Amino acid sequence: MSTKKRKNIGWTLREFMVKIAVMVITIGIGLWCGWIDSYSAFYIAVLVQAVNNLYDSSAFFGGYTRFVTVFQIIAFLGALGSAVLAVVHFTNGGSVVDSRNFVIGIAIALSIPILHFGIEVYSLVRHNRY
Amino acid sequence: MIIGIWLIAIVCSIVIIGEIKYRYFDKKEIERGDKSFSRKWTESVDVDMDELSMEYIDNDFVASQALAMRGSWRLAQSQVMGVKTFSQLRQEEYSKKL
Repeated sequence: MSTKKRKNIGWTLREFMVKIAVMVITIGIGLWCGWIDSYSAFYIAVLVQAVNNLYDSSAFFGGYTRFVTVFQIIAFLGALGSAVLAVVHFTNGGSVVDSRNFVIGIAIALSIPILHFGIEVYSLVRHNRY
Repeated sequence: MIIGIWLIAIVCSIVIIGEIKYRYFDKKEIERGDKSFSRKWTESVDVDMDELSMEYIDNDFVASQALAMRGSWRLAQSQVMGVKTFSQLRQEEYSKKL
């Protein structure tokens, strides 16, 4: 077992808040489209956000604390699943994923990084490190 | 409506998981860090007071208040003065007055 000290995410409160705000707006718009408008608009937003989450999560795999790594692996898998479902929607038999259950499931899967960054913000506030 | 429910669910989850993390993980980590620090601290200090041999050094300085009361120019120059020097100077000053 490595004795090397694993690091936390070294972002400031402001950086966390900006990141969370951007993700909330993107997923919120996608969720809103999927719920009241068209599934195609929802899955386009999902595809964009899923690729973004895949990129962001991959940066936190090495050298970070177990808490960060586990959360980011779950976020990565959620984003991967969401991207696959978004691609499936645009294939011939894509209507399989056109249901509100999928919309909720995908919204939850893409919200994992928001949950993680939100917990980090909560931790910063509780430790008075902002 | 759906976005409101989603936001409330996210915020509630953040508060619950964040509080659990703070109480059961972060605090333990801080306590562990404090223990390791105190252990290292005691290792680097000679805890047996009988083994300490401190030589008495007559190197006390005159309080700046005492110098100020005498209007010392040394104080104006931000200099310090040892007790011995101070008593010698005071003695010389006293002798001159006599």
